[in-house]
Amino acid sequence: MKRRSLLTLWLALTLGVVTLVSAQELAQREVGVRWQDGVPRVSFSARDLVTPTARHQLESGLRKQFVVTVQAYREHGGSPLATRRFACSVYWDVWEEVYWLRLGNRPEPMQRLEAVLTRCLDVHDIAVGRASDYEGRSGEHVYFAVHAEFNPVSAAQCRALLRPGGGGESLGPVVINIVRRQICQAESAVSFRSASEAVP
Amino acid sequence: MRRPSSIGRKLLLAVAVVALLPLVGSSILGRSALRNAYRMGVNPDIERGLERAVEGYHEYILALRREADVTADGIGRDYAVRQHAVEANREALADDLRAVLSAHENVGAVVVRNAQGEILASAQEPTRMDTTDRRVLSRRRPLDDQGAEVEVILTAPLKPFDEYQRAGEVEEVFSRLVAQTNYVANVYVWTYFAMMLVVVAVAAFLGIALSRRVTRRVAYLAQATRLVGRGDLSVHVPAQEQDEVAELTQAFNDMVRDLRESRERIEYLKRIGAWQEFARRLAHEIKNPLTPIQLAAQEILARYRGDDPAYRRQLEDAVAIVTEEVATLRRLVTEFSSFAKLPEAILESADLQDFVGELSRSIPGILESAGQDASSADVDVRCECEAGPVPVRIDAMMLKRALDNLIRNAVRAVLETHPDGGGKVVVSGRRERAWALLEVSDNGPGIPEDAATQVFDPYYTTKSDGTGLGLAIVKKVVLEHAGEVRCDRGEAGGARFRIRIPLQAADSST
Repeated sequence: MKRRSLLTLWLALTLGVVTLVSAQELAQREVGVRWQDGVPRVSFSARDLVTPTARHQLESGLRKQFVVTVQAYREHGGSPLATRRFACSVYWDVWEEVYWLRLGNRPEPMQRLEAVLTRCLDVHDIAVGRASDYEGRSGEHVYFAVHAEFNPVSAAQCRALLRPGGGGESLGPVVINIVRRQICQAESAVSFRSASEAVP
Repeated sequence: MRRPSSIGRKLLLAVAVVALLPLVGSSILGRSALRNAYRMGVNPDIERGLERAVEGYHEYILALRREADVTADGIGRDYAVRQHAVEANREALADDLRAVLSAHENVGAVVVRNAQGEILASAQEPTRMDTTDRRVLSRRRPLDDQGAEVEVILTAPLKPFDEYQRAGEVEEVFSRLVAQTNYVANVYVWTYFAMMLVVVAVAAFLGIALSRRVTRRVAYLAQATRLVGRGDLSVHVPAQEQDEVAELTQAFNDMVRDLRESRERIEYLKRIGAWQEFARRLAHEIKNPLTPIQLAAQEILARYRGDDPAYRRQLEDAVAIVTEEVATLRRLVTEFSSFAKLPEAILESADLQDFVGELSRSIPGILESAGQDASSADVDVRCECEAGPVPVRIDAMMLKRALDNLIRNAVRAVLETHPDGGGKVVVSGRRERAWALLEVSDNGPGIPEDAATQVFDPYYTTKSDGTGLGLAIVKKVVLEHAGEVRCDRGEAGGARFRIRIPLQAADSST
């Protein structure tokens, strides 16, 4: 029993240290936070995610994707209090000569790439979680971590494209699972965090 | 955890070497083979092919688009359409537009409007307007300077667009795989290596478990050997398996048993020797005064001249008692003396069958000494022996004396329980594995189980007139034949004495 408790303590400490270190490693950036009805609404820009290469790819005609994840953390670490994630699917339609942007369920056409980037990466006032996520935490300091990715291959697509070969090979499934993580990760990504905010 | 023994460490080392050598070899070979195999399947040539496929789709869509523009331009410049639009000739325009639809497969609908935006004529091919499998593009072209225009709805099959996106996804993942060739190949190698390590770990675990089974038993043997070295001959190591270690264990147990029996034999013979010395002295000390005592008693009776009949009778009784007790003492002295003078056995080659035959001839004498007429005795004494030679090395005289003792005891015992006949004594001889077996059994009262080992102790007797020397002599004689004697209950319910003496080996006949 004592041994198990020590192991749990060690794991908790390790996890805590890892979280703390990873939180400290995030660069701090200007992130607007506005609390409305107990829910934080954040605004930021992740335009620097778009490199010239990415811009070239966005103009190619093939579908690309931005995935932005915003998570609220307590300042002293631990698991996220709330998470908000959205994906922005974009492609240049050679047929109609417009950018098609899908943010949510309905695709919408856009004439200019800049407008697309503004829509996807200049984020204004998005809610992170629900009021219940922050209940009872008044005065507690939290921060918002943003992770924006360009063109990660979705898990479903990755599974569909990278399948283990048939024939009951023993190595196949194991290797594929490891390789998927590497191959299907985003082509580029930016991560940053907000300043510490006290929950009202 | 207990530290493995030396042999255990060696076995573990052997298991580790046997398991690791193929692992290292296969890892070195496998690493190169896996990398080459991966590079053959995922290489830049295929990537370029996929890129060209994507470009092909892209060019095809561009061509569709250019064709759509050209078609729209052509319809906008169509003389008949322009003329009938200016004239606002609706019927003619309708014919013109139907002709346009039949002339251009990529046109789904055509609408002509005047400057006010009023539709003058339109035509549509519904099958070409199904957006589930076609893409639609609207293009407007002026028909005059006044504002009349024609709107052309151009269509293209959806499939190339979907294929283009799918090809793009495949090409993208493939190009990532190409870019990560070393990483993926290394993952294969390291996964293979890790799995092999698991196999080695399992093999090592099994090796440890199996070697433990052997080394533990060897350790038990070593510990038992140390105990034997300290003089503890009661050690017995269980030998449950069916292997060489079990054979070794069995041999060890046999050796310890032989040592134990040998030691018991020596101790018994020593004890018997001491008792013989005691018997010799006792016989000597008692024997000498017996004759003067008897003579003195007889002299007292002979010299009495008195007339008192009561006293004379009393004197005669006393002399009779003295004479009887002296006779008893004389018999005891004779037996003690006989026991003390018991010679050591001198073994010679003989056949058990001959020996049993010789023994049978002494049966009448034994019966007579027990007060029985040999021809009509109340006891049936039979001697039998297995047919065929049973070679042994025996001192026939000594062994016969031992058997005589056993038969006499048996006859006396069965006469006590069967005084009116029905008593049986069977003497049998036969071969039993590496032993010659002589058995004397009867249907008498038998010997209690708890006395089965004591009966061979000198001076142990349950009979009122016994000396307790008969069975001691039997055991001494048997031990000097390197044999053993045991007593138990026979099939007839009486006592059974089993004498085992080793068979004569083929090369020791002299």
